[in-house]
Amino acid sequence: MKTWITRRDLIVPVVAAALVAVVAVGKVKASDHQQTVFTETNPRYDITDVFAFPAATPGRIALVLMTSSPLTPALTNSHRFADISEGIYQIKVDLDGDAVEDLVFQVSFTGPAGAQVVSVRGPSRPNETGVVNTFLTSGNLVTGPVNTNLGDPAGMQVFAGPRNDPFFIDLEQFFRIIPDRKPVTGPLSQLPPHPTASSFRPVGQAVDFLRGYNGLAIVIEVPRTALTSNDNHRRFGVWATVNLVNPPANQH
Amino acid sequence: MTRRGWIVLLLTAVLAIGTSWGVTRLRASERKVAVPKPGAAAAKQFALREKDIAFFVKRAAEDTESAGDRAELAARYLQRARETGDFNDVILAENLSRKSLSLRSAHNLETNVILISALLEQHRFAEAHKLAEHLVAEEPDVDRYHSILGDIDLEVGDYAGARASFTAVHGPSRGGFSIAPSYARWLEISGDTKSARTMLYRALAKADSSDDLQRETVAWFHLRVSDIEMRNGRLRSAENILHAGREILPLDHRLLSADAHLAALRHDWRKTIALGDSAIVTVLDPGTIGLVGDAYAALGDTAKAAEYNRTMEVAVIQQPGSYHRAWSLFLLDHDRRVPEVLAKVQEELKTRKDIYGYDLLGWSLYKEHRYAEAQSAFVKALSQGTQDAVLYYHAGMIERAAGDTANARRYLQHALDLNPTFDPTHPAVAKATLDSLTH
Repeated sequence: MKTWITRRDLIVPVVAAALVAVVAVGKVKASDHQQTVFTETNPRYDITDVFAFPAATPGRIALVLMTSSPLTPALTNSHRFADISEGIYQIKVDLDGDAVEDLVFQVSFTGPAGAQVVSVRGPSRPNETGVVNTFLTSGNLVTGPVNTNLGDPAGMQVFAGPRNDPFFIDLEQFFRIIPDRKPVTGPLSQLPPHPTASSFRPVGQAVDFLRGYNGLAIVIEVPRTALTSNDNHRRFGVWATVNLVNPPANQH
Repeated sequence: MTRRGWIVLLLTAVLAIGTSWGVTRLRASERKVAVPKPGAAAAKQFALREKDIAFFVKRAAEDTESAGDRAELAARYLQRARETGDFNDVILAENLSRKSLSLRSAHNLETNVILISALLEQHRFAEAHKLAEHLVAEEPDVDRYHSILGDIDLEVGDYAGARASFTAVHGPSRGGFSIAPSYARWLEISGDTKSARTMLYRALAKADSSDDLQRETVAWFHLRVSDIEMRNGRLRSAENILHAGREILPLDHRLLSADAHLAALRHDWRKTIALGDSAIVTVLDPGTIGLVGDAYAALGDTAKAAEYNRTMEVAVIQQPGSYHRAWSLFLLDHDRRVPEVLAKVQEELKTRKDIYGYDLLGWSLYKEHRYAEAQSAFVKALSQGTQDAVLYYHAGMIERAAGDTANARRYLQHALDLNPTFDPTHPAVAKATLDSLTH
């Protein structure tokens, strides 16, 4: 039976952390997040980064979707991925350069916080392309507890759980340079700007704000051949979405 | 939580009765009275909290200019203070949040909320009020800031200000975790207990079903709802909610103390002693010490009762500044230190003119046999229409002493109608007084 899941419009820019990945050399084009009240206050739906890179094992590719950063050591255990009743995570892959997904991984979670079970189905042809999707009901499936390496080393392997956030930013200094950066939770634009710095701290003094913080990571590793149509076309595009069952109204 | 600085000073007194406490606890155990055991989940949460504190201590040391890490650390210290009653953690939270704000004033508005909480824990209402006004001025669209300001307005007795603040909170936000408890308190003080209760129950249901809230916060919602139930005579509901809260945090001193109070309302004195002693192990709350002393008195153990009551008294007088309202009432109800309590209340009323301040003033004056002045104080204590049985009991007793039997009857009957179990002993006094007035 197909279950309809609606994708919120607002998710488009949030999850358009798109990569143009070449099998040999990955290249990140852009990354941004927390662009709405909803995603800022519901970090499990807030995709911070999508990474694609050659895996440690030759001939394999790792895809990583990060959400919910920053998590402190204590909060890590109480935070969880979205339950399947709330929505699912998808990693979409364009094989021919038309920016339309040709393959999709659907990642869903069940169970209580701290004991969730992850299920990843894919890579499969999507039931439909675009913003409104349905659950895949057939195809390759890997399932098991979070915080565990799952799957077949020769096929698809999956890990879902807290992992150190690999992003680097000297956020404290950023706020001193641009103190009137406007969050979505209130009209901070009314604050007068009083910059106390004009540039980032130099190497050796700059401090990574995200050091030690975890994000919730979904990591999928597959053979390169699963994502490249043929040896003559080894380029593919990757992006990720969060699809909600009941999207909030008026979120743009 | 209230001022805890005196706790260290109290240790000497506590050590003096330490042996008898040990005996008391053993006896409680022998009687098979339910005493709490540490829950694995609670222990895990406490361990994680300590891990978090260590994490942010390290981060703050690594970046001496980090406002964010100092704010995060301040919030964790404040959380630990609520759980353990450690006043030093409140001071740490205040200092760290001030340091955070000095490092970065822009994009750091939320740190003011932490600072406000630390100030409120110390009863520094004027400073907290000023900061809350700043928050509202900077972010007039944030409902939570209006609610914080309204809450402080209630504390200082600015009811017009509270009305304006809570009216500014948009409807859909009123039931939120961070606003519902304050909004419900305003409803209660305004006399709409029914709506307050409904709002708190809804918030509790949300808290229970949320896996994002800290267990300490969920337990606090249980405490808040059980409190309104107890104050309105719904003891069975209060018991169920308290016990559900203790499933979440079995050793939470506030839940244990509330459970001890509930047992006292039922005249289950042995249970009162067992639960009260368990609460005191974590936090030497004078109110709970006094409650246990009363339980011993009810059981006829006057020596033990005197021991606890002396300790309670020492605890209260060591406290700097104004006395906690509950402790002050305890002293008045036991006809102890009445002039001191009166002087403290009069001093506090210069800056904090709320209905419970006037209640305390009126009750102190009653104990000093200054009935006309007590009546005047109660005009203000009852001015908001708050449906609190204790207020009406005090009002009734004052009217009787002043010779207004009609009002005395009306108030005492209303107190009993609101809650026939508003106190372990006073309802019986109210009934006897009513009988004497009738005949």
